[in-house]
Amino acid sequence: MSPEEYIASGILEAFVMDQLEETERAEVLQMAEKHPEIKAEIAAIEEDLMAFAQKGAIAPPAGVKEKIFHDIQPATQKEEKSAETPVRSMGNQQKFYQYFAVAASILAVIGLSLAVYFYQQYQSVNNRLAEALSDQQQMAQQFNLTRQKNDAMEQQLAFLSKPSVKMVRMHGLNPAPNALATVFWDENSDNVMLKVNQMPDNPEEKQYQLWAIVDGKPVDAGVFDVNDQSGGMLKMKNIKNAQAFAVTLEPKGGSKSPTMDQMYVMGKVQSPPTS
Amino acid sequence: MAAIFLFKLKSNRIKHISPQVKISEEELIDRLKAQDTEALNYLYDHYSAALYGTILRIVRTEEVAQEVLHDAFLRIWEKINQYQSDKGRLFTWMVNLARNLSIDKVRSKEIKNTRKTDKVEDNVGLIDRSKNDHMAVDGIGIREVVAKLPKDLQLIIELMYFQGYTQSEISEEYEIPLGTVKTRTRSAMQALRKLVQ
Repeated sequence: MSPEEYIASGILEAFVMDQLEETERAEVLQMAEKHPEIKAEIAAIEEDLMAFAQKGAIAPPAGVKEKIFHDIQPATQKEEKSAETPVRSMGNQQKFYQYFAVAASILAVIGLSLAVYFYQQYQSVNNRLAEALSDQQQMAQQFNLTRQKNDAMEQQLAFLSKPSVKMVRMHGLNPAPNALATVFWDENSDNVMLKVNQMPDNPEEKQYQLWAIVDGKPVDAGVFDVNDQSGGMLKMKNIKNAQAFAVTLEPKGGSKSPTMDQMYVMGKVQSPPTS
Repeated sequence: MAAIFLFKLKSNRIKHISPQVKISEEELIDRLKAQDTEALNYLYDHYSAALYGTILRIVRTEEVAQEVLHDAFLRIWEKINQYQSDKGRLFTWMVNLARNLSIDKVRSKEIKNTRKTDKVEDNVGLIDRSKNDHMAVDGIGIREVVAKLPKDLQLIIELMYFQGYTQSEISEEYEIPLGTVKTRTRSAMQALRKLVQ
């Protein structure tokens, strides 16, 4: 087919208006390369197409342009990246490392801050633990003391409840007419307990001494002090066969024989009424 | 070479195209491929109306036409790197792209079914009757020009330009040999060339 026949067939119009299959298109392009008149005719047809379309142009409403330009933005950024690939890819890597370094630094700072914070917390807790342990120790000690007191009281109560225990009230004499002290004497075990109800405090260089009158003779039953600290029951020396009890004020440590004018209290042992 | 390209890239990006300035097609293509939005702006200002007219005549409603125009420009922007200037002019590529989108849109709306029942005579009459069509307001120039064509050529233009038929479809539906459809298309376009100039 000659170029003129080729042109006359209308295949070039079909080509320009995208009516041909791929193989036909390739053929037209080949013919255009081969024959300048065919190439020229294609150009002319394209001009006609554009002129015809411009003749029938209708202006679109304004909003369409806006929407188009709004919607192309993400694509723009994507295309930018692919268009500048040779330069950008290195940049992207650099940026990655920069971001990575920054992120790592931030994490390090956070990690360090946390470490400091937790150490402080640990110290605080440790201190409180020490305090708590100390408190616990004190409480344990107090508990022990209380228990000891309790045990002592229980013992005394047990002692006093015994049928064999005699109560001997010792009343005040000249040196202290209002003085009062009580002896609890267990005839079975010979145990002697003394309760100071009311007696003046003894001076530091002196001490009170308890005597038991046995077969008419005074027998030492032990020394004791009366001061703010004293209270409760005092265990004295064991005594057999007492008929009476008395307390004298003696030099510190006691005497071998009672100082008669320093007798503060005295009381007789009541004998059971004979039926 | 890449450095020169990049340098050109950067300097181009700063340039704003004033409305009076005409850009060569070559420069326009380069800038579009470089994703210069100013180039797209120029393209829209100069060619959107021609494309819109083409689209509207095929899809018939403004709402749909606006959608298709929008999609066409997005596609032009995204696929510009596929365009090769040795295969044809930029406008040819764009108008075919817009036409194809319009045809796809119309097919999806099944308008073609109604078209198939039309006989040859009715179709020719369509162009005359189109003076009552709301679109006649815009395209008085085009309609008048086409009306001056011989009837068998009018049909071709009506079907291809105004209804988005392919030559194969015309050949099949109207039982005209494909070769004849092609020669009639050429004749129509040559006649229009004279009328439009």
